Amino acid sequence: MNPTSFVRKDMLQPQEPPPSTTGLLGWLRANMFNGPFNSIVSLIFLGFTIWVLSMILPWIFSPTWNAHSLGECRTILDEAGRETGACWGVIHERWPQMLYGFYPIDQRWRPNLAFGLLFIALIPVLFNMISRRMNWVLLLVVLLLGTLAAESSALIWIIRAALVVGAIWIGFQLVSTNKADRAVAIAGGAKRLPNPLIFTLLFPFIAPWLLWGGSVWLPLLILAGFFVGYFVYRLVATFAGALIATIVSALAALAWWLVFVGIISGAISQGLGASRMAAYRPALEAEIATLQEQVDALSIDAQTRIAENAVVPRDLASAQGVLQRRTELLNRIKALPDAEAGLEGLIAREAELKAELSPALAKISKVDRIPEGTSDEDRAKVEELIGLDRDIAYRRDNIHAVYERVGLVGLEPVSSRDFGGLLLSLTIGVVAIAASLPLGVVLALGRQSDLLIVKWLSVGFIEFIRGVPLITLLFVASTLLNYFMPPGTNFDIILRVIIMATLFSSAYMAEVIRGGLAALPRGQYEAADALGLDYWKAQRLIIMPQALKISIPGIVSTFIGMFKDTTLVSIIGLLDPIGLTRGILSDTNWHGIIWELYAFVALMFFVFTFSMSRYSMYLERRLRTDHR
Amino acid sequence: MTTLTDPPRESFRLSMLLYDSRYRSITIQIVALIGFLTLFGWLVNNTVQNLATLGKEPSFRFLGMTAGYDINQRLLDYTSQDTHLRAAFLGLLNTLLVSFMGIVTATVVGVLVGVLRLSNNWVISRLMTVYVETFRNVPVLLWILFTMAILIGAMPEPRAFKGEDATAHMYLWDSVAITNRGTYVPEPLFSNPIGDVHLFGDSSLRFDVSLDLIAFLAVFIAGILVSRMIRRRADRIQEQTGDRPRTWYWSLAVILLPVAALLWHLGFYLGKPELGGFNFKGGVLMRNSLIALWLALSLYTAAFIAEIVRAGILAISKGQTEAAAALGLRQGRIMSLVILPQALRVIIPPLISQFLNLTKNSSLAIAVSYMDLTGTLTGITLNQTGRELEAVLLTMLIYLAISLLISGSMNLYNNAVKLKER
Repeated sequence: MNPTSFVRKDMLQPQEPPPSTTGLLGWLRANMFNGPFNSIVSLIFLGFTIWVLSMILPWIFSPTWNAHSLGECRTILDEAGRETGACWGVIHERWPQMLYGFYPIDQRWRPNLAFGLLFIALIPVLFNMISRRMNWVLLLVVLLLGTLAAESSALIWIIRAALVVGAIWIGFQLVSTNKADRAVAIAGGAKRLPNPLIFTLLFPFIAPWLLWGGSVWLPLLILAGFFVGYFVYRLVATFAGALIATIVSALAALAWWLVFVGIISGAISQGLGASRMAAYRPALEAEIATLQEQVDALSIDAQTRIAENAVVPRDLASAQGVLQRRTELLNRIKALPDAEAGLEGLIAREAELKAELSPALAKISKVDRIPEGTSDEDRAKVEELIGLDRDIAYRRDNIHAVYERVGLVGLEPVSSRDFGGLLLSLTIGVVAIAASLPLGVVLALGRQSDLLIVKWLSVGFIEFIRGVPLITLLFVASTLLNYFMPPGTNFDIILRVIIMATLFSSAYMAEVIRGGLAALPRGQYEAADALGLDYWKAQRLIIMPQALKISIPGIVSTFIGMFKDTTLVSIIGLLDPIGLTRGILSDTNWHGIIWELYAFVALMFFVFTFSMSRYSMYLERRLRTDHR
Repeated sequence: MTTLTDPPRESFRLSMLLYDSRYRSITIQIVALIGFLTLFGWLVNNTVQNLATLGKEPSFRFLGMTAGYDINQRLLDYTSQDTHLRAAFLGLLNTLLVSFMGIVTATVVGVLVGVLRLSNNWVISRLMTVYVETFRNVPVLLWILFTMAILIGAMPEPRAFKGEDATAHMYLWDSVAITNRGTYVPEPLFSNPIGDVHLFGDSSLRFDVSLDLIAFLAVFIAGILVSRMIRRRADRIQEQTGDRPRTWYWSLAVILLPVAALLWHLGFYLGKPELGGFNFKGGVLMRNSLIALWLALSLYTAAFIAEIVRAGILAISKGQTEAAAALGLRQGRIMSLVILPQALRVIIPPLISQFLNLTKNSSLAIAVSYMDLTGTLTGITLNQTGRELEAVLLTMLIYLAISLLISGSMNLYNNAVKLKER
């Protein structure tokens, strides 16, 4: 045996990696300078980046935030001795408009609240790992913020106090209980807070009311339609079976929405309006007088501020807006007696004419239907009668509108024309996105269906919509949709645009979901059949959850596409952020400012779309059930 | 003992229409059809009534009336005395022009960016990510307006090119002038032309086809076909002997030489834009509206195409690259022979829908007053004649036809390259 043999008994310590492969230097070598070609390319592209940034950054960081006009911007830049620079004063002055359009300034808390609530309503859907208590605390906080904008009164203070107490109480419970203990208690049957999804389901009724205003019973009556449908179903199902009951209850709900809601809400407003009318006018006059004083005081203040070249607060514009709307209402109320007298006169004249004419002639409603051989005198009378008919209907509507406004219990109505800016984009985008998903699922199922007629109807619809540009569909909304409706209908332009946008994105959604359905292995369908599930149960429990999960990236990119496409409404004359930039460009103060406005609009869209795409990545990761 | 008997034959009852799955599907379909027809009929009936009240019975006669407006960027001859149909036709050609240019550019840029985004050079992949995210997350309408604003605001006026101390200069050996009115590019001219063919006589769809262009294309395509034959022969030799003969100079020669000969015979020369007075004369003017639309659409769509290409390449498993490397292929050949042919199958279907999107988005031309189909038929024609229903319907049908044509032809190509499974 060799006495010099040596066996190592302990392990060698690992050596440090060579310094050229670690740290910043190693990273640079590995990622930017591995080889002469890559090094040159890296340097060229770095140089390019620096060159671009050196042009853009000085432009962006420009001390013009407080300027009042383009000329002032130039003076500021000249004094600072700079050649170029953005004129951010335009954003400073106009950003509220870019966000809300011409939505009345004193009412802007309503869209704020609506979109705050949207966030709360989305939480249970988007992040279902958040605890119920946390969700309720957030809801209470958003409502509290909403009340801050309302005028202070005793009632508001009580509501605020209740909200604060509620939020603190739930928050305290949230903090004081251990998560694991709570889970055990829940498993043992402890009482939980109601599921926040209830609020998510209520939100579609609250939001339009907040945005457009109107009487509080209108959303309630629409909500009641679901209960009507439900009770009819229960009633009919007892003797006629589930299928017939479903059909009958759907018809009953439709009848309720299309006929009864209008009648009931009209009757309530009318009654309330008539009973309030006497007391309303003096109160309104008093309000106008105080408003006038406010406006006068504010405008004196504003003049001194303008003289000092300081920023004029928005209170003045807000108060002026309120004053203008109140004065308008007062004028309409003042004109009411005359209008009613005029209407009575017209009705009397109509009755007179009808008595003079033969019953057959009195029924004619169109000029070209007057039979040949009618005497000139009769023809003139019929024509007058037809004109009277329209006039009476028009005036009656106007008078009704005044009564409804006086009988309003709820929020002041805001007309669709006043919507604009990001508010408009979000309104159209959110509604179209939310409505297109269920519609898309239905269309995709229709396209995959074995029922031939249903299949071809779906295919035809999807391919037609996908084959034409959105802008032509928006032209349909702006010019044709009123033609498609019964004569005399003239419904809201935003609603028309929302309808067409929804149809548009639902066709794309249908194709995305069809991709998900097609990607599911055939075995899943067969397994569902083997379990004895019927079509709808198989879809709901087995097929759709998996298909939707597969199609998440597609669904989100359809959402993003829809949100970006809301900018197209500027082409048909709506005032979305791009539409508003045109108005601002024609302002003499800001004539010639393009880049700043476009950059701001681009940033607004980027924030939303980028966060949406990041969320979809997060969702994909979280829903991934396979092991990778 | 009882004997086995057939179950009693069930006679058809009315309730089976609802509760028997054999008949229920028929019931549902008939109900759906009736529902659809009722809805459709209701809409048509309303429309007819409304239009009758307005005195606008549907008629396409307005297409024959004098248009009375000008189209400043056009491919064929047109004056404001021409008909609305002619205007719409030129609009359609403009739509096709910008779509074609956009599709070509977007594909080139998109594939390049998509491949570069996978580069292991950090600077390049980051820059490409920034490009993709910026373009994808901002509305295309904004990009179009933005590009237009850049072209109008930042490009020199034509008179800046004038005089000794000109502040602007032309590019590419004095042949391209970029001004704030548009870009002037050289015009291909022939001193010895064959002539034109006039199609459709004097009608609104009259169309001149240059025989020079047809001859050029014919020679060019024939050259490509011959070069493919040469390549096939090289393949054959490679399979027999294992050595591939060098053929690139032959291929180049059979394509280039006949084309050069033809051009020389026709007396080809470039008509360069020249500064005359306060504006350029000669050359072809591509107006800013066209350039803005083209650039914005192609860069926007290229961002989407880049993502599609990247996803397609990532979908090919790494084993393929490694196997190809093990066979001894070089980096470029691995890409062109192994990865791309497989990735193409994943890439092409979404690529088709991007092409369609670009074509449809070209209707945003109306925002920069480029007179495409939307700008003419649904724009000025609609406003002048008040024929909303007919104009919008016609526009939709034309776009539908274009979309179906593009998707049809691209699907043919897709069927040709997709994996042939036995």
